[in-house]
Amino acid sequence: MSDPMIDEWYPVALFSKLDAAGRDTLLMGHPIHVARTGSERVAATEADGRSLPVRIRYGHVWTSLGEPKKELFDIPEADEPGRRLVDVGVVRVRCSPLRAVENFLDIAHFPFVHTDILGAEPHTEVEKYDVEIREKEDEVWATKVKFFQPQAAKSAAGGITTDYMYRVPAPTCSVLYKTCPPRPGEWDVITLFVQPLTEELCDVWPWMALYDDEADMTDLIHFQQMIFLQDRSILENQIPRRLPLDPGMEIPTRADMTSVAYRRWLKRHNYTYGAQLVAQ
Amino acid sequence: MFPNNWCKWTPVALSADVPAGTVIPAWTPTGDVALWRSQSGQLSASSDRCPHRGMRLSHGFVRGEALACIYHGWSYGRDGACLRIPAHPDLQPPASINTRNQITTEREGIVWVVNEAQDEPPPSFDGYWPLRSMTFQASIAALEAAAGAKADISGLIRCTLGGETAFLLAVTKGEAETIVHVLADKNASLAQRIAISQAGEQLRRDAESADALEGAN
Amino acid sequence: MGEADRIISKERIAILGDLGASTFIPWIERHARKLGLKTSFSTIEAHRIEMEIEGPEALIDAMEMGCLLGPIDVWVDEILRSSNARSSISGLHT
Repeated sequence: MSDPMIDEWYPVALFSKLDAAGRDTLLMGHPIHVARTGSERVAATEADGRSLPVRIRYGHVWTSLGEPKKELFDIPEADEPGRRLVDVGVVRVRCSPLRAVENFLDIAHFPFVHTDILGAEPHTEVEKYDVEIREKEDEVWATKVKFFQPQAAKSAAGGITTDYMYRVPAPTCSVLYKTCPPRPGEWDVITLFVQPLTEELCDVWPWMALYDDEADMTDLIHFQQMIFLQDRSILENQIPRRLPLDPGMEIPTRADMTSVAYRRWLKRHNYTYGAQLVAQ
Repeated sequence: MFPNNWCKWTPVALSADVPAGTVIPAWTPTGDVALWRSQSGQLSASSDRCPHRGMRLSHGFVRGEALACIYHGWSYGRDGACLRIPAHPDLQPPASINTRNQITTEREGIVWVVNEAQDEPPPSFDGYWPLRSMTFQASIAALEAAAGAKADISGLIRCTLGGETAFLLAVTKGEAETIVHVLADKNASLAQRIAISQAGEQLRRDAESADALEGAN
Repeated sequence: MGEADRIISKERIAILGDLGASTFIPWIERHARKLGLKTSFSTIEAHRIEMEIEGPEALIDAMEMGCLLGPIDVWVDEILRSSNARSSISGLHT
């Protein structure tokens, strides 16, 4: 495979649930096996026995079929004391891994897909926000994003205008930063780590680093799972399954600016696994 | 089967299956449609793909005289023109943003769709009204073999189900997929309708297993 | 914001990059038609396309979003608009 996406890191297992028997899974069409080999050690191998590089980070096991030129991206908030780190658990989705990321970057759908949770009519307007590709880190960032929400997080009471930032540090990963009601000035971190099984099938591993001393872990997990299952019903019914890099059959508007920047970033890097090149 | 040389309309659903204020997915040779009925009772057949970002409109919701996409709430009128983009609430969307509707009509309980205006309306079936729609995972040949009857020149298959005369409107969706609308005498009793319906299910099982045998050979 | 969506604007936009003009022009015209916008080209070169666009500002914004991607064999570095000196998405220069 000549796609440069082969040299990236991808999540392939939840570290806490991985045992010595391990799990068989698929990465970009290739069967691989991942297993725990020690209390803090894991191994990943391809079907022919070839050893793959591994990392354990953010509650998950990461590997690559190629030769990553960079270490796995940094999320400094993961090491801050007082944060609760939440492994949400895997959800399989019949869509391109790139579609899963694009949906995670979108806020205009909150009043319609996550009605009365992340947004509600008539508060549907998406105000202008900033988007850039940060050259040094080579990441997409959307900042000064805001949206009015009736119940933004398990820790919020009543409705507030939530501030957001979105970040794409790798082709199938996205990090969302949202205002944290119990700690003004700090950001809650919610991530989507997406494992590409094939170009039209992915395993989504959501993960969070939150300041929330009150909610039960189970409630935090259920909340995120519920949100994501609502998104899945969208993702599995979007045409085409792959992410179009040519919007000839679509009508992106200013509200879709983060998605446009993400697609430009993919195009620039020639990251096309899961992408549709010609609009149909 | 339909459509055919004499009838360009495709039967897509039963009127009763699209009550006011609802949307259902349907199929035509031109493509998937989101078939919906406005609050005032008017039918529209929109392409099942929102022009914004490709979400299936058949997953959307009907509000008044408009169909809205479930993803970002873009809403479309009965003629397909975009009426509102909720992320930009003060924008008056141009009619050029639309869902490319087909033409739809209902006759005697059946909803018909066609891509280009026709001189002739869809046919009437002389006192036979639709009972139910089914999808057979079988070819039309397997359906005809199981029914013991072939389509006549008008496209209609006449057979006996549950001891009663029934008509089948068949639409070839794929090599091994056929949509079937079953018609029964509109004066049939409840018992007769149940018998026809159950026989229709047996017909489906027969046609599907025949095709499976074929495939195994 | 709401204001801008109602007003009909007339803007000059410049698209800069590796534009492979032959595929891009029909693509731009088709996209503009979809948005109900009036366009007229004043410059068509391999690295620069200039045009005038007339329509509601929110739809000119949508035109910019579409043109920032365009067909697969085109790379747009930036889009300059007469309404503001810089493009809305920064940091994408070659």
